[in-house]
Amino acid sequence: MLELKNITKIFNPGSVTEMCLFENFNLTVQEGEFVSVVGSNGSGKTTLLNLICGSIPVDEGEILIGGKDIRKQKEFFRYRTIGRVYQDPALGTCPHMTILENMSLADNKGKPFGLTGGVNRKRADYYRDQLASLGLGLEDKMNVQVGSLSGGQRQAVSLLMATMTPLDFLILDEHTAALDPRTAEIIMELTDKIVKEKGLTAIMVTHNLRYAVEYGTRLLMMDKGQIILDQAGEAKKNMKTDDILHIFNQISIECGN
Amino acid sequence: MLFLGTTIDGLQMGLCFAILALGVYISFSILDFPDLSVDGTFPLGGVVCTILMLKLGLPPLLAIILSFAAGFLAGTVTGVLHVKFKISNLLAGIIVMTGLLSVTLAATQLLTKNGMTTTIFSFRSEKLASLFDSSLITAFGREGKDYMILLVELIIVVAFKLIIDLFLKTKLGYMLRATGDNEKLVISLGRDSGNYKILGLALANGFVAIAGAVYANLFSSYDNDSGSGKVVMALASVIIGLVIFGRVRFVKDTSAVIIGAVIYSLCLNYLVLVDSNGIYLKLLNAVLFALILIFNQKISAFFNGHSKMKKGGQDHA
Repeated sequence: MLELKNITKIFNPGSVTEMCLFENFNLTVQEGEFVSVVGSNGSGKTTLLNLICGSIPVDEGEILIGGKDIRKQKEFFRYRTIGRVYQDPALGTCPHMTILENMSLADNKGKPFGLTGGVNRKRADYYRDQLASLGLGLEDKMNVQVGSLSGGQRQAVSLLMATMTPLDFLILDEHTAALDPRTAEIIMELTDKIVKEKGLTAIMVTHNLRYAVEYGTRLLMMDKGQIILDQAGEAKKNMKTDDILHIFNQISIECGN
Repeated sequence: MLFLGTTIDGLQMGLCFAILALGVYISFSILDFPDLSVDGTFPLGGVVCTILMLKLGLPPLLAIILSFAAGFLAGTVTGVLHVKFKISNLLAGIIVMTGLLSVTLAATQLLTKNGMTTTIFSFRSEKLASLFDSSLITAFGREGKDYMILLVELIIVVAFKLIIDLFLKTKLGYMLRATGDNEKLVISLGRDSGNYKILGLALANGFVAIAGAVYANLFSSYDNDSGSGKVVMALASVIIGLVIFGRVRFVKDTSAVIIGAVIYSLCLNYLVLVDSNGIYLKLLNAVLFALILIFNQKISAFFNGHSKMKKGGQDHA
């Protein structure tokens, strides 16, 4: 369970560009929830993810995972139990290493990286099965450098790598935004499949309102650092894209966008 | 015969600088870190090795291996300055390089005499030495000793190459490669990428120090000015090697770097034939490097347009 309690985050404090994004922000995510977060640019979606992952520090308030305050933990330490897929497909993989090498790295997360062989050949079949389940033909390209794959293929590999080891959370940071519509659809379906299969708790930021409505068990809409819509369970299931598009347009008009 | 002599000198220097280039390959190619401290760690290795041999009377091989520790330490300082104190990579290197100028100078004061009688290249066994004194070898106009030096150097270089190849295949080696390739991924794996940078820089400078130690052995004495221009030399070697051979299948990057160092060193030695006083050597050195970088872009553009086969190296210039 993730709890954000009374979070305050101020950017550029003390300067003319000072901006208070979050003030007494509260959010609780239960275990097993798949939360989609939508909102206009600058509404605080990505900042929310960065605060959880420790990419930027909080000014006030508490972040609890399973009741334990993680504010003091460094970014890399938090990632031991958090998986993250970025918007940029290049950020989730090593371009000059092969798919096999990348998968081996991800598979070893949480274990020591010592002077034993980098690739465990016994696991190669497992990686092949995992890649085959993507349906992108990547299982025959195990020894190809990831840098020569397309953005969609890379993002699929990133997704596999991020979810390879047991996680408290999966963070999806607009992970379909840089892909063409068809590939985005494939990645989104894969994401849903993986989250359901592994029973992950996931937070997905997206600009695609349809994805937010169709996938996930809970929907949040954010505006100026506040949650203005929070639907879960049956209410979420009965939502239509048009409903939230309407609300979304309203807040956008207020902003003058 | 002058040409042949120059070639053999070039090969001797080239194999020595191959060790230097292997070190810089780790920092520059693997970690993507332009490390300028090399200019300081190269003579550091030389002076440490010389002191160990002349003052403490250690055997050459042991002294050379121990000089690795000195470079390792200096590389750690560069790494810590960059990672823990957020000093930019170029400046961290410059600081360490400048500081080491004094360190090596102070260390030189410890030497009451310079000039080694026995080096890693001298053999006690007459039989071994005589192997190289056959009329077939000396027919080329050089002493057998010169060929023996080449052989010993080759053994050292190949040994280090194999060690680095093996290391880069381990989990730790993978993490080093990942740190240079995509630091975010290392963090995503729950590891502190800064530690891998420090380790990589330490290892890289350790190898550079060994190169300096071998260099001192090659000339049987320590030269305090031996460090200047080594960054350029090493980078040029790495880039030449990776540009020409990096794309060839079955030639590992480390082998490519070694060949690059030999080619570059031969070029420099042939330049000496033209400029016998060595006045323009550094300028020619710089011009050669610039030409390599310019050609590198052209060659990369050519290959990227015509071939899908990729290997590391083309992005590094």
